[in-house]
Amino acid sequence: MRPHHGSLGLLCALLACKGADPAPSAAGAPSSPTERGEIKEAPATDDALPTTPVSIPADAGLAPSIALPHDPKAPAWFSWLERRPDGTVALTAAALREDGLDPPQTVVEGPHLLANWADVPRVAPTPGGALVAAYLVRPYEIRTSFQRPDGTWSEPIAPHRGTAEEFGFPALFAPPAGAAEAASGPAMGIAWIQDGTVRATTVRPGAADPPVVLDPRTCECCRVAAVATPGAAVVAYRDRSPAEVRDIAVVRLAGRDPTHATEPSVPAPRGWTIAGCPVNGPQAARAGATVALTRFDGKDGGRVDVLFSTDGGAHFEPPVVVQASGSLGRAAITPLRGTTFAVVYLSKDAAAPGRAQVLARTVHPEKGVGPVRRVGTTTAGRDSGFPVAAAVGQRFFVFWTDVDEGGTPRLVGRSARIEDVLGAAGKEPA
Amino acid sequence: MKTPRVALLIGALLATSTAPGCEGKNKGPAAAAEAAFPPIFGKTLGGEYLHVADLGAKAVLVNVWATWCGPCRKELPTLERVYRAYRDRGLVVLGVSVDGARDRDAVARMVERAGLSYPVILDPSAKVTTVLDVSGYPASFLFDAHGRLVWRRDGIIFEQDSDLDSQLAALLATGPASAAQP
Repeated sequence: MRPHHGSLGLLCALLACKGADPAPSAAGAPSSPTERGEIKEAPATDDALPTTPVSIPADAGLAPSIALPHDPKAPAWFSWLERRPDGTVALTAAALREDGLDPPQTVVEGPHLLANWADVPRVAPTPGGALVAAYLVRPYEIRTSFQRPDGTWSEPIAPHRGTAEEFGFPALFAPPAGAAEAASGPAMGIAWIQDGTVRATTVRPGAADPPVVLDPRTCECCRVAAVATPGAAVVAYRDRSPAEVRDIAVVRLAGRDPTHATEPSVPAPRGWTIAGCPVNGPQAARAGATVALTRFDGKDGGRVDVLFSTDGGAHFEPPVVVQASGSLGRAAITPLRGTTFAVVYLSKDAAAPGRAQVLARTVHPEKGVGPVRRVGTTTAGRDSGFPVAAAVGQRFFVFWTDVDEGGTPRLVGRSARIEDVLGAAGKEPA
Repeated sequence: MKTPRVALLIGALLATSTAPGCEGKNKGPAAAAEAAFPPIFGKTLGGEYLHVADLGAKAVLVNVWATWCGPCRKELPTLERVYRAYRDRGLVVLGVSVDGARDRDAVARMVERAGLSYPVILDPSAKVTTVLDVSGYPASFLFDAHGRLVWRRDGIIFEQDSDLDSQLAALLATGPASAAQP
């Protein structure tokens, strides 16, 4: 292999050519601005978040995902893909508790599973506690399967119909009619991208309702986010206007199934135009009726926002800016305590070209953002994938992917005390 | 590929050593050429090693793409037409596929379907995305003969793209088609 001579200088030159802002490091990073004048920002710090490693039972893993339980006493679920030496791929999941991961279980494995850095499988509990998995198979389709009480998995089905060229980016959510689950068996809402549209349906073991088109024109290569809210669900995705504006849009499912969906809307438009695949889609979380959406765009050299709704996704407030420029995005968000959330994102590391910092901040619909906290570092390339985060008990977990010297992706997990994440700014009562 | 590569490299180095703006580095022509072009390299579908600095072209349009990217697929025939329109004046288009290693056959099918005659290299670990600060696909980068980045496009290049055309017209206006020629 040819050595990477002069990559430092080149990268600087390229950044200058693009007009990107220099990447702020967490150390001494300026306090990010906010578009909401009433929000007071916490001062920036160069604090590394005190964390401990999380043992992950995988030699080579990628595509991490976390799903929170509906019952706060139940564990969260962490899932990932493993590339096996024989060329097969396995979707693996483990319960995530305050003291770490339970022994993993294999959901599905084989040569047909599709593993990539951006289009990740999901394993999530239904409101009744059953597990459902949504994953990708070649040539590029989605399959869903439910775990039976005996631990085996139901025959996988395709939630989509038709002969589209590609289906992908599944997101699972408890369907608004979740209360009916006990009578009719486990059910889960699923949204996905299908040839530049976003669609949704409700899946059950061995069956899927007819899909509904939520938006007929969307980014075809950006992940979808979905979250259940009281009596409804919110699906967020990257829009695609005829002029190639790719802002984050939302649809609210307010009825018993996806046929009861609002028209798509774009909260606080940014007007980021790119006739391409930015990949960097939104992530969603909720605490009570408060919904938080992450949003990345490249308009100012890489910006991350959080959009809040305090009425279950019916309306969204102006954004809270998490990083104004120099961000790689790929943001994750999770409720921390009360309506304080933690947002985790990647930022270009000015001191180490080719590397990125994994950063975390608290974010609150009224208090704004907390200090920038460094969680770790990873490759700035796409192999770092999308970090995920969750608060479980009194611990805050962050998982991401890094690449070893041989180019093999490796999962990294760190956990911290929630009190340390909240810091002095996070004294909100639970 | 080794013999042509050496010849091309020597030519590129000679061109670089006399290029305006490249003097005064006190590193000699070899170091200048190494430092000028970004480290964009990989194996072609035919298994040959290719580095962007070895192309010896008057201008190089690097196109970062993937088979899973719809806009990328749409753009490929346009790039082929750009290549055919300007290659005699010294343009080389270099496709860099960031598809995974298992998707090599899909890349080959796409190249064949789009009728690409320009070189395509495989970058399964997508190093190019870090080197060129790529945040979306496709992304295209126009370099002059000395490896200087003169233009970039985040997103697709359109048919009769006036922005690219004006850049190419300026870059290819004078001199021989090959930077390797004296």
